[in-house]
Amino acid sequence: MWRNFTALLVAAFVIALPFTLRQRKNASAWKPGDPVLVLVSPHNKAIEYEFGQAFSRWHEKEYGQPVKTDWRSIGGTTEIMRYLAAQYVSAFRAWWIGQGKPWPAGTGEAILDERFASSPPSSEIASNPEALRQWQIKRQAHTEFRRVDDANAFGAKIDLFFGGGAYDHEKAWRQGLTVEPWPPDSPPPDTIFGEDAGELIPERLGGEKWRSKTFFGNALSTFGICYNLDRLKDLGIAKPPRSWSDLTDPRYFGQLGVADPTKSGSIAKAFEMIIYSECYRTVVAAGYAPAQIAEYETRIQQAGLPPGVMCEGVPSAYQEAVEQGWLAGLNLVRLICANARYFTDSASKVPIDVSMGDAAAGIAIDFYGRYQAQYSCGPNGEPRMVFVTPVGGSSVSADPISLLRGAPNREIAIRFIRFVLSEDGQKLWNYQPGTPGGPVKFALRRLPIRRDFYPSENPHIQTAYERHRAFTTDDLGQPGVNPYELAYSFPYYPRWTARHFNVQRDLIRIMCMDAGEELRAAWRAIIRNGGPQRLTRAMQALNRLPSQPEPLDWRSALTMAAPTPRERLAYMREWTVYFRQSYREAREIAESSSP
Amino acid sequence: MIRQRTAWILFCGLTGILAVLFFWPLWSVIRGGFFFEGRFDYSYLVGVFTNPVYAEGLLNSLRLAVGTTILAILIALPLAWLADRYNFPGKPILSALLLVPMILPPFVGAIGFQQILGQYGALNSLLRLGPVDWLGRGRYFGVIILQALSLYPVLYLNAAAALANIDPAMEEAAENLGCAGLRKFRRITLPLMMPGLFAGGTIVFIWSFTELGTPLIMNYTRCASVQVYDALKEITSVAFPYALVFVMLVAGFGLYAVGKWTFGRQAFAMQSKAATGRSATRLHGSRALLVALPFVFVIAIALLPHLGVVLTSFCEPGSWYRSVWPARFTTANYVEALSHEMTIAGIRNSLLFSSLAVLVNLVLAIAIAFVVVRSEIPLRGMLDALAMVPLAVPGLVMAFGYLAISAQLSNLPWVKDRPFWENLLDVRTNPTLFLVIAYAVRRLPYMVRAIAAGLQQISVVFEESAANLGARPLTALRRITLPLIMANIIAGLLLAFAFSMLEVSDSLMLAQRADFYPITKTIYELFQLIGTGKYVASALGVWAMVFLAVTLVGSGLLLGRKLGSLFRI
Repeated sequence: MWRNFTALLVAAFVIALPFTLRQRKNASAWKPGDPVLVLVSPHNKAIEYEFGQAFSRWHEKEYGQPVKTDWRSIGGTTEIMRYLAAQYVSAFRAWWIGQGKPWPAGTGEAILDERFASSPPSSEIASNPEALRQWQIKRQAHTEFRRVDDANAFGAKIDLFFGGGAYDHEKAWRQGLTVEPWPPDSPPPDTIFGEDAGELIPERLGGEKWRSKTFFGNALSTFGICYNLDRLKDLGIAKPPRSWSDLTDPRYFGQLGVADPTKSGSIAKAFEMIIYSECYRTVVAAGYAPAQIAEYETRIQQAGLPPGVMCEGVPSAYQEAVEQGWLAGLNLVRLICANARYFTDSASKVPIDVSMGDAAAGIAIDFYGRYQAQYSCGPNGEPRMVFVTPVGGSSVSADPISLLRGAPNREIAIRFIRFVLSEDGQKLWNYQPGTPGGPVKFALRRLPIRRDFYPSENPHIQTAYERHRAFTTDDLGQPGVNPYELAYSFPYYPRWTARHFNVQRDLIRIMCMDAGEELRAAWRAIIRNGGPQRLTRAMQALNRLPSQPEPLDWRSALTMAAPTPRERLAYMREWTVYFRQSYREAREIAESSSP
Repeated sequence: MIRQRTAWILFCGLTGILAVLFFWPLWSVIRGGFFFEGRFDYSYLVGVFTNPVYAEGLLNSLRLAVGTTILAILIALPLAWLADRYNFPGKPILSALLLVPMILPPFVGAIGFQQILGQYGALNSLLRLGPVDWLGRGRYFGVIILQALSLYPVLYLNAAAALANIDPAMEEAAENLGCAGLRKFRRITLPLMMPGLFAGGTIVFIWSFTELGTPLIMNYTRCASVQVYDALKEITSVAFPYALVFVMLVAGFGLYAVGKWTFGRQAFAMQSKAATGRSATRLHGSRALLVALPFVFVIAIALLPHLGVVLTSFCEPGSWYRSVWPARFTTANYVEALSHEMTIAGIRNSLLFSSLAVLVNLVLAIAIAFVVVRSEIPLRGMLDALAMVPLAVPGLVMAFGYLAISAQLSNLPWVKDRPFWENLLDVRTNPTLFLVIAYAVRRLPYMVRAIAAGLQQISVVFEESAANLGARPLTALRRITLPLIMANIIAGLLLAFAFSMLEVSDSLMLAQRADFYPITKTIYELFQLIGTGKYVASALGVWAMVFLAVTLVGSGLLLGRKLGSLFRI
């Protein structure tokens, strides 16, 4: 009896606890009939809460009505992209078939394929009347899908795609899922251009696209290195990592947390920047001064010659240095990955693991790194973990917002974009909670994109920066934090690595992840048997690049930039076999030359 | 036995239901791996076998499954046998605690592991070992050990139910004929409990063949489940993972069929149910301690990650570092987690979705088990295997499948803009139906295996006697068969309910609006908060664990002594 009573009491307590602690919802001014805005976002609940509340207040002040923000959460950005694509194909298919039009197999893929409109039918299709007819239907559907922007016709029942990376928003636009909220040459005032301050949000900076006609970056992030001070001491590393190449130190073997470049466009871009920075270093080491590099690149761009062909006045040795630098960059990435403990798609995992000492160092996004460093301080505030932006460069990427095709609440959605890009919206990213115009509850600690939140020589911008400075959580003008300073300090020539983006990603995946076990085994054998300086033959085997389908170098990689799925499958298989073989050979050489 | 005609009707109906609820959404996704520009293409499928990394991944998954199943049997079988034979002080609480490893909440479970086994974790601090890298070394064996420690309850429950069904007269007869000790166990007890062991064993085997969480925690990436996950999350949309899913599905189906052919046929039905019950030997003093020791040992190891989560939930941020336990404790994480407006809705939703799913499960599983065990139609083995394959498909793939089906249905002219149908079929409006289906289908194998095992152990003579005395088939089912296999039903219900409450993939993708988040998605959302996320999410995770434990104990109270006697625990 007593046992049952006690158990029931415990059960009642457990169930009652959340009800007792439940917070009363803030009395909202919103009532049925007022506007609603539907957003899909990978952002966390803190961001949703602050932007939802602030936008409703802003809207009520500007337009007399509060807005209810209906956030849809479908996992990470990859899941959102797949979800949106499937929703649009399904909705368009129903609309298309509803008009009595045929839907041949493969139409779903065709309407999302940007290249479909521009490429003519293959000779096989052209010679077959039925296949040609079907192809023409697909083309018609493709055109119609990208023409219609009407919620009554088709759509995803969602207004905005908020957050994720520029890569994903660019892809969404190429798939026809997003539309322009306003004519590109006349954005609303005080969003992209300020009255006195000029351009507030650059289109591109430091190799990254920050806005386009359909997507608008609104917060910035960089990739950097976080490290645990105690673990470094354990490993006998007196000098903390300051550059990407520091992470190739054999003492980090099995101790690096690395963000996975195959699962995020922003991380893939960060890896491109690691390769790029090594490229730049190699070119400078070959005797070319920054000014000279800038001059050569201007000439090359103006000449418009095929990739790798030098114009008059630019020595071929210069191009050779770029190509050598690219190979050196790949090897740098390979050795960082050889030290990797894991690759993760979770943005928070690396900083959490480093703060707990479960990894000695790692590659992480700035605000996650800084936030975690603050939360992991010792009892007297002594730091355990440090986040640094690497010397020699890191990319500064933007988190954009896009208006979706067939948005059911288009007008409100455009107002939300305006709000996010306005000074009021931007304050939420870094103002301290409770400050005027700042977030109510959570410190978001993200970097706003607008120029007027950072120091500048422009007096109008500088005045605005001084005004914001008193309320921001981080000192946005501080070197290492100021993303504009980082971006400007990093001359980026897209010719060097941007067109290799896809093949670089595949290459990193295969040589570092698919063949990762063999890579780590070879690297461990090299470390144990004398190290990379001594075992040059083993290192040569480790650093080899495939010779199939053709010897892989800077030039041949360009021809593989846009493979068909079948070609990709074939070369990925060949490369996997190749790298595994090379790594096994490197391991054997290392083990047979033990000191 | 059920009549041939009834069996065929049930077979067709059940196959149809499985086709609609499982194979349709699955096919809507994996067909991408077989069609290129509208034409059939098998190059992706060939790619799975010709790329050495993927072929090796499949083989490694198989090795993990074999290793995990063997270890889980080695843990669960002796414990179930001891619980069946002996009574000792503390047995009820130890038996209940043995089941707790299966209710480790998602996301924060990994944090629990790290806090205990990390380089600066509690274990190294306790033993003053320095930064020994437990999670970084011996990854293959590490995965097997961790999986076995979290999955043995499935085997334990099934084995306990099977032992409870054994008629003590059989063993007594063996003893009278001079067969005692280990020989009796090997020749009599083990064959009689084989259906239960097979039921638990196949679930653990297929589960560990496709398990994703533990290999990810241990960073063991060269196995099929992680390869599928990695490929699905890749930013380039590729069809390759779907071909790999198909191979895993066929492998799961085939492995089950082989297992069934090899081990599952050895079912010996008993003419009488152990209703009178063999009285367990009562132990005291050192003998009781000796028997309790293995329970304590297994529980102590298996609950280490839970302990990690509990301590994290009471930990002030940053205060558990290079120490056995946190330096500073707080209840603030609980206040933040439990006061969140998502939490109450999450509890309500999880209870609703899981309860409905378990009900659907129960009806389907009884019907399937009857066709499989109590009919002689030639295709019954196929239905049996079909009911097992939901376990072999990654959750993420099924979630994409249900989304695709919902998108198709919600755009039908008679659904669009009609609130009733939109609420039912459009996950964007209300995901209840799809979440219930997803939970039910993915948890169906537990229930089918448990009930089928019960039916195999109970002779058909009881039902035939009822029929001879004029009972209609449904009456015989309700009054005779179901009470006889109640232990198995409860075992299946407990597993299905607990795992539905902890379901992750479907919940993450199908519950898109905060009003419909189940508790797992609420934990996920809290975990995403930077800085305090892991502490707050751990607090809600602990609440979920306690709530599930209370539910399990509560159902025990509701059933009174019946539960104990049904399981003899």
